[in-house]
Amino acid sequence: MTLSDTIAGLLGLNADDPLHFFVAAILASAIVGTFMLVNVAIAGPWAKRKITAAFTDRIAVNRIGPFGLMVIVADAVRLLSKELIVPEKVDRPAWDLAPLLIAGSALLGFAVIPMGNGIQVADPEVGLAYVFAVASLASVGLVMAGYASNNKYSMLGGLRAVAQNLAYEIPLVLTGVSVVLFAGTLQLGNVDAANTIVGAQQATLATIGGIAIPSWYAFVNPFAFVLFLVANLAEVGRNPFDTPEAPTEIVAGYQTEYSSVYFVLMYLGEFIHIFLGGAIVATIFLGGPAGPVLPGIVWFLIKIWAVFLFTQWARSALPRVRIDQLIEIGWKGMLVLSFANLILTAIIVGVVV
Amino acid sequence: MSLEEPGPRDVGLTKAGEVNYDELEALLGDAVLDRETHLNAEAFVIRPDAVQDTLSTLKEEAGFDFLNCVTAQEYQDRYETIYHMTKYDDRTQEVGVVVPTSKDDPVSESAEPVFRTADWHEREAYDLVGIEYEGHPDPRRILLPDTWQGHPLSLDYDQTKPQIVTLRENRNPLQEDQRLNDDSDTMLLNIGPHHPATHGVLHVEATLDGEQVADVEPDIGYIHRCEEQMCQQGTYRHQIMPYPDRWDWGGAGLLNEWAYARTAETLADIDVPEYAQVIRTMSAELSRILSHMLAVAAYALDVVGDFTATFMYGMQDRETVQNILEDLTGQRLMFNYFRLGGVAWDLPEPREEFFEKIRAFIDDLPEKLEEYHNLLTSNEILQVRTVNTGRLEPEVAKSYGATGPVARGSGIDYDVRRDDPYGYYDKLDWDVVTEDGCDNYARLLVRLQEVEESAKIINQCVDLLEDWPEEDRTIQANVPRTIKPEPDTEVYKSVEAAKGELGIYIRSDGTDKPARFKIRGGSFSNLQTLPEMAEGEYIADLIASLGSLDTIMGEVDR
Amino acid sequence: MGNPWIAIGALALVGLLIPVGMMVISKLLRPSVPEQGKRSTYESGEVPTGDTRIRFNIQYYMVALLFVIFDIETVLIFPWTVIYRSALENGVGLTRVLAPMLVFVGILVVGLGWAWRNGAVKWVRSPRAEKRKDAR
Repeated sequence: MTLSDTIAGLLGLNADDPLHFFVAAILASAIVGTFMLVNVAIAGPWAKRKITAAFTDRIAVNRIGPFGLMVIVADAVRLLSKELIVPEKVDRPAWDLAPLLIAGSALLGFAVIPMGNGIQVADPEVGLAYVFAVASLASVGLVMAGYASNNKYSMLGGLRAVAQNLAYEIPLVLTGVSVVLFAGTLQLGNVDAANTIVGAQQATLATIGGIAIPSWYAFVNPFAFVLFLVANLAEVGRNPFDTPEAPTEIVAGYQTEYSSVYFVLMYLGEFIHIFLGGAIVATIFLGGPAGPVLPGIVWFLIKIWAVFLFTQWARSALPRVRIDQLIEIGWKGMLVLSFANLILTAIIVGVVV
Repeated sequence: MSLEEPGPRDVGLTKAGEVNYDELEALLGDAVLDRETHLNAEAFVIRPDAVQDTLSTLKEEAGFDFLNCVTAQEYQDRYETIYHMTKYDDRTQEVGVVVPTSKDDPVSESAEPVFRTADWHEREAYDLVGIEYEGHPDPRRILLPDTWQGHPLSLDYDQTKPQIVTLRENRNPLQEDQRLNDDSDTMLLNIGPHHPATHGVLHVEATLDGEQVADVEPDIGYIHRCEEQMCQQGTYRHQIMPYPDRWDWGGAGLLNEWAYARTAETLADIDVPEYAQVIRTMSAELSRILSHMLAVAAYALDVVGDFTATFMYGMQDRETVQNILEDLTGQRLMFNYFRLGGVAWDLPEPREEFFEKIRAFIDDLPEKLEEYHNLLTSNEILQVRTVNTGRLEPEVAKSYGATGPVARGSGIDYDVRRDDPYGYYDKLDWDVVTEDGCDNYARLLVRLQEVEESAKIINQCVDLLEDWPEEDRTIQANVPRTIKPEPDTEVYKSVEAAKGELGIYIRSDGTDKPARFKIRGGSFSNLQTLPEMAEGEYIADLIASLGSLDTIMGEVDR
Repeated sequence: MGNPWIAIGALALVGLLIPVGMMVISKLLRPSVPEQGKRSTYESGEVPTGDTRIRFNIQYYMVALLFVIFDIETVLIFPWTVIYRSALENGVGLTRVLAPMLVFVGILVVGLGWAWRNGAVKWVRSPRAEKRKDAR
């Protein structure tokens, strides 16, 4: 049962009627969309500052509201009410579409993510393929932004974003796909749906001291998990792979010329993307929204915020690699390792089954 | 020594190892018109068309391989260019080469083919004084905009004349050669003056071919404010000392003050009491730590990224030092603590508490430096980024007159504190740090290790100060209220500042203000090496190299 | 159970409406003070020389071509991973399920190795910049 179906049931709508179901799905989407936006609103103007501050021994926002939380409202109003400056010779409408695409595509990925407690907009059979496809849409947006801005830093940033994507997309997908070998399906499903990626992870792997360890793929195949985390850092463009933005080299990369609401959208898209990366990690490696005692949605939040924390940690601690090194790491390291991982997983599955 | 064949280095030296000016004069032959005596060294007055010959003879045969500074000035009857030469092997051996040119035709031969460092120095001389250099490869203005009319340090300059300064696009130097073939286009990218990585208002014109830098040229002068002329309008005794602080806002103010103090004290023949020397040495090294910490922290920004923890760690450690210096000088940035003949006041009371503070800092320092090594120098990604990038070979560095950590990172064992001792340095136990890497990594290592050496010096100074007898604590020599050196006394002296050698040339005219005040900023020469390090490399390495030079624009633009 | 793609379409609509809504709110809130100076492209405060519509040297061109090949091959791996486990569970021998894919991945890896050896899998250095470096 997805959230759309539940809402359709609650409202007495016929889920098999496309129009009725669409209405229910819009409501479900609005809930999921708002939920993710709230997460981003907390992460972007507040949590990111607080986390980075903690890593760098500072205090960060603490003036408005409890723990400085009201800075979220202040920042939202401040950013939205800034003048939108359209630079000379930008390539419209590509320039206007890029922020929409970046923010929209990242949100789109959450359609298939099971967030626990039945919160999931849709559950198609090819969920995993879908989520990878949608997640990589953002690169198109980055290139559009970079090229349409008519700014040299932006263009360099856009080109770097492509290079980075070329280097990490294949290892990311290949590693992600290795869990399909265990599950035997591309459907993400839910905790209680056995023949799905999330459902398959709920089986007990081993029992240590009376505590049942679930067969989360992070436990089953830690190598793939680490590989995926690294590729995911590159996917979301955080240190050591923040080369496309590299503020000290190319100012802000592809987003240099964006101001006002367009800047908000770029920024928002980036953060939703980080959470989407976290959600994928949680879903295919960390048992989705499952966990003891607490409700599923809380576990889901804990897991995606943990991945978010990891990206911020990497950003505070790790130096950035150079663009040519990035290509080499991607193609000569990660790609080979991900092929090895795929075959290794296939052999493990073959031996176990 | 006496048994050895006289090598090329021994030409122009006496048996005692001092410069034999008579022999040098004979060596230079008929190029020499006259001889002058400057307080720091003898100087030969030569014909304006024999500059290259003279300088290359001095360089090749007498071993004067370091063109330290070029001073240009205008007299009532002539223009004059002074090439201050010395040796990387022995800073105490100096010689001046004075090139007079006539008022009507102020042209002399360029020294650029002999010393690359003369490139920028002569451009500056042309820009500010108006002397032209024949054979200079790039005779443009350097500090002032191209459209500027007149030369501000010339005697007939009209300050009230309005100037027109245009904001135009910069020319791509590789524009011509790309239209000829089917090659890709190059792109001129302006990095700076408003850029996160240029450490101040530096403008770098980088011509890119893809991600690589095909041509790079630093463009300086954005905060030129005629510091030299401002110093010429101040009296020796008190009015000049605040200026050196303004040449380095990275915390190295005290080191810069010492440069002026040393020059003016040589000029006015003032002896600084030993107690004041120890205080000066201690506070100057604290100042050096401030500057090096900032360099390391900012380097982390350049290479690691904008939100690196290392930067804030660096800021915190600087904070401790700034508190100590605030206790001592009353200031956190523009210290203005040195005076001619000593320092402004004694150590703060209670002295024990002050010493305790310094000792606590010194004791914690190894642990803190370990943290930098963990976060930076031993990090594999940083090593991949910095090792073997931005190479600066020792010979190239010498030709550009590189000094300070930049020279020492290229394996040049040169430090004014040891080679031409001043203050209390020669009585203390410390080492000159050199690294043979010649790359960005080596320069980072040198700075981190120099912090350790500075701490060693400070520790010894505190030992000395603690036991200093109370009745012998003279902080200030007897200095006349008004200092009026003999007319036409010339002196060039330098100290080891944080970024490199900071030299000051003063010519007196019998009044209580200098007639010519010339500043040799270490960063000025160091920055000139940037194209050597960055051309052909990636943009990221250009930024890393720039950061590793640790230039400060206050000293470059003055 | 409704058609999941309708639900995804609904989220796409929401994903579009949220940014558009923000743009509308911003439009209502923000001032507009048109002025020529601030519209110039940002290039560290200098006047840009030329624009970005040039024949720029893409130094990873070969890598991009390789990417197209490998990305398509990745798509071909997807169906195999899906049936792999159930095929095994239904008694198909390990060699029969694994060997063809090993051959397939093997061909890919050989291709990668060949490209690697030929220097295609790297950032191509600019000859112009290299020449300048050597001239130094």
